Amino acid sequence: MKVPLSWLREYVDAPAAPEEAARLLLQAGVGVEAIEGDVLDLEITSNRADLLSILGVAREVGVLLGRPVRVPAPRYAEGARRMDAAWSVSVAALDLCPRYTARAIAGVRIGPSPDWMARRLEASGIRPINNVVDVTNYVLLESGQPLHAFDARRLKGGRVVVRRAAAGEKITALDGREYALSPDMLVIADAERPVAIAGVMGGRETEIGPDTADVLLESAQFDPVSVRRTARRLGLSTESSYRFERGVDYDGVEWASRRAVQLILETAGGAALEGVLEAGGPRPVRPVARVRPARISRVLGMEVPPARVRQILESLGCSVAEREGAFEVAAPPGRRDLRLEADYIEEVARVQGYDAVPCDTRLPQAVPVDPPEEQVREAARSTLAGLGAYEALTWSFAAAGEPNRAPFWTDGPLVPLRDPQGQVDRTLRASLAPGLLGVLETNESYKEPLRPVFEIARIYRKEAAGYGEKTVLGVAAPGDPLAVKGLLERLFERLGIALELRPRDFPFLVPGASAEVVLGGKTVGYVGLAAPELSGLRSAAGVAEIDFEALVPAARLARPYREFNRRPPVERDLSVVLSDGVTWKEVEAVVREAAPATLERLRFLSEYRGKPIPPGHKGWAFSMLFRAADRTLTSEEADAAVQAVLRALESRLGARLR
Amino acid sequence: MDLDSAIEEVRRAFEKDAAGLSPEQLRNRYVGRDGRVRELFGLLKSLPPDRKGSAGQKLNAFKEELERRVEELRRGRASAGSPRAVVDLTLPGRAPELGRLHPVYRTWDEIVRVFTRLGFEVVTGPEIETEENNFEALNIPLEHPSRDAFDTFYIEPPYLLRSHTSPVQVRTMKARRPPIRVLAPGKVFRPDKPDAGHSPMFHQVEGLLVGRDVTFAQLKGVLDLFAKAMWGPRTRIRFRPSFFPFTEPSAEVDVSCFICGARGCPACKRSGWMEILGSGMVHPKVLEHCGIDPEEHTGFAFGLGVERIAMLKYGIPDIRRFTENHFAFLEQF
Repeated sequence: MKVPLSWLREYVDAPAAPEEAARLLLQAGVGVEAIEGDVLDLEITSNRADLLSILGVAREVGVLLGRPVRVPAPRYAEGARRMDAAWSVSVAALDLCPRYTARAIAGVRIGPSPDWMARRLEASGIRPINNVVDVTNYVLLESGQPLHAFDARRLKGGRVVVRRAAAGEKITALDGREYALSPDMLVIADAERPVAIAGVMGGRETEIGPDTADVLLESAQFDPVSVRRTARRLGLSTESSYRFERGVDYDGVEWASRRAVQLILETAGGAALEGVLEAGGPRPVRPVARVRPARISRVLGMEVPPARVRQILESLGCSVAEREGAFEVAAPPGRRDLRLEADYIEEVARVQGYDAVPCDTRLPQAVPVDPPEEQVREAARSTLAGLGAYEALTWSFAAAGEPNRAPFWTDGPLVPLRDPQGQVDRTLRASLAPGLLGVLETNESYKEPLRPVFEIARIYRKEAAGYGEKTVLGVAAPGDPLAVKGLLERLFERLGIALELRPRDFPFLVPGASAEVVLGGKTVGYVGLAAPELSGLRSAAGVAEIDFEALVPAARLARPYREFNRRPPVERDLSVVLSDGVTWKEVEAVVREAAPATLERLRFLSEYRGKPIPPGHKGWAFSMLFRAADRTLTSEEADAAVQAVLRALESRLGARLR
Repeated sequence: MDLDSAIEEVRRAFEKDAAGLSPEQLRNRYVGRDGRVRELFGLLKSLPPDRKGSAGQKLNAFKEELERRVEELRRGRASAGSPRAVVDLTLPGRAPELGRLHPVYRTWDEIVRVFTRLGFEVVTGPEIETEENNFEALNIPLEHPSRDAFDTFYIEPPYLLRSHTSPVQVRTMKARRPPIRVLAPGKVFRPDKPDAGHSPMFHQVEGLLVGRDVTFAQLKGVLDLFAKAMWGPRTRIRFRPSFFPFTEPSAEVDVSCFICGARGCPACKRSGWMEILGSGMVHPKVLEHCGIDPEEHTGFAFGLGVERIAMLKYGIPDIRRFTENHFAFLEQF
């Protein structure tokens, strides 16, 4: 809302310096987006329809500075012809039009507006058109009440009817475009057809043109919701609809109408018909709120003396009556946002100044408990980052029409999303894997050295009733999936959960290089080598997803201490040649079975392929740590244990010593 | 060549190598089976017999000297008066690479940490919400201009992606009795066209305190503490009246610019203030809707955008950097 200061100062003694005026308004909650010369561009919140006019801003300035506001009194001489002899006005949809008024001026001469008016319109961002149309726009800016002027000779049958549109009706509006109307839209019609979309835009056929001689002037109040819905449906937002959506005042209708007639007579000549035609419902009763000064102090945490409360409310134009230790307050015209006690509390605080409210740090106590989910999330993130992984932030969206590319939680289609225009151009992901692999892809394309990435975020799915979402931990790392598995091993170690993997094929992972993650007998995730369908990477990458919500209850971040063995251990390495088909799981089983109870730890060391190991075989080295609880182990005992292990590997798995 | 100068040459070569080679390499090169000292012994053959004895002694003494030096170096000790480096500390050290936490989540952590120290408990809610929780319960009626600020991704009515974290307020107030003192960080969505300042997906932190005689002055107190804990004890806050359908009175909260110390810079558009938080007293209708008697209890709520704070904190000019996940970006945090 653009406010030229020189115009504003016609009504109130506002500061002449734009910066000073801006500061004053800002403190009262009216944001100033820009200052261009003499013009302040104000940011009006949607509750303050009353500030969508120069007079409204003047009233606000008047309250803040305690200065009077000079409201012009519209005066003009009426002609002899009577309105009701020439016209009839009726409202057939009272719910959508609480008040409709019409006045008429005969014999105008259309021409350009006087310079002062044209300049003010331009300063406020409105293009001057002709003296009659400009007056309607001028009064809209001045008072906030939108008006419409019809070429009276083009209205048929001497009738104006405010009604819902009939099915199939169309109108060509002032913008030259044809709009199809529907029965939930309100129109202004003459005896034959719609001539305006109520509150939104007038029709082209009845617009004021160079040859217009007689003018019918509409000033009305339309239902905000109806105007908003119609404007949105037609994709047509105007200065007029913007104000009607936010609500215009019942009483403002009459003032604006008279003011416009006065200005039209002054700028375009002609003669006003006598009287006004009016239709609609009764004048609404202004809601009265009970405002208790004690409550104000209780909510604000600051004493405001009752006399000061009353003074503030009256300066705002409220009518205030005292009853049983409280005020009964009715809002001034135009302040549709003032209905409840809380609304008045804000007004008192606002006018008093928010700066006047003290900072109070005595707060009611509640014992905060860091929920387990937060503790586990923190442990997981710091562990993975400590292991060299980068935390990523990927989109919750997938492109529309994209398949669920890593369906471990749901096989269903992705959840579609509609933007405000109802278009579906995206869906919600059902897996973190494509996004995390995408991060590796991006960085591969930038020739960055690849590193492991992870994220804890939600995935989504359709459910029988409504929609579900799940917090998931995703990890992706370059190379074979053992890199991802290694991160998971360390993470699970930190969380105090045993990592259990069972070989299993998934359609989005390379067969034979994937496993499901099992926790308490349930599948809670997967780990494996990303299949080409899942990853556009040139190099190989492993990927894993784990149901984070399953980790939270299983995690044991603090575990009871166990006394440890202080006797010296004996460590022995063994290097054997095995055929390719033998798995570590088998080796481990044989070793543990063959070794004495003193085997404390078995650790895989390395794999070697190539000469002199024959093709189809591999060399595996591993280390065993022996320790007894009750004595110091001798190296002879350890050597004997190694011999036993070797013999078992030879006989059971066809191993031979390297 | 005479033996003494040959010895001297080897000694010089040894000391030169001592700076770069490991003790093991030095031993192999000089006193090992095929080392330089062994080569010197080869010179003995060409000497007349009467000099062989003393020359041999000299060479053995030299060999012992070098062995002693290798041993010294092995122990990491240069002999006195010979302060040469035994490890080249200009070489890179050996340690695993650092991982990184995302700047948005680091900032989230920082905000959450301050408020948990102030006694707020973290709660969460779903990202797929209903119109009821996202709008109606928060006093944002359908077809009302106040919805303009909350353009929304719909799934199908009544399901939508929450456009702010305030629905968590509603869920918490419906589920608990006062005193309530919670913090709801989370992901929110708005169908904004991405540009330097807008993203269709971002994060907010919402705070709520409901109890007996909770006041606007306490809201100011808490946010003043927060601002000072977050940006230093000299930080000031400024409350400006504003409008949010779910609070009354409502306030926009500015923080004195922590980039320039409120002297005026491009980050604060030369005003010395940065708009950081929205806040206010929970609207009585919202309390009522959630089954809390506004006569008995009052409350305040506030919310802030995590990306915005992170951008200001690190001087990141474009919100889109956060979701690009370029390692050259991530490794800076």
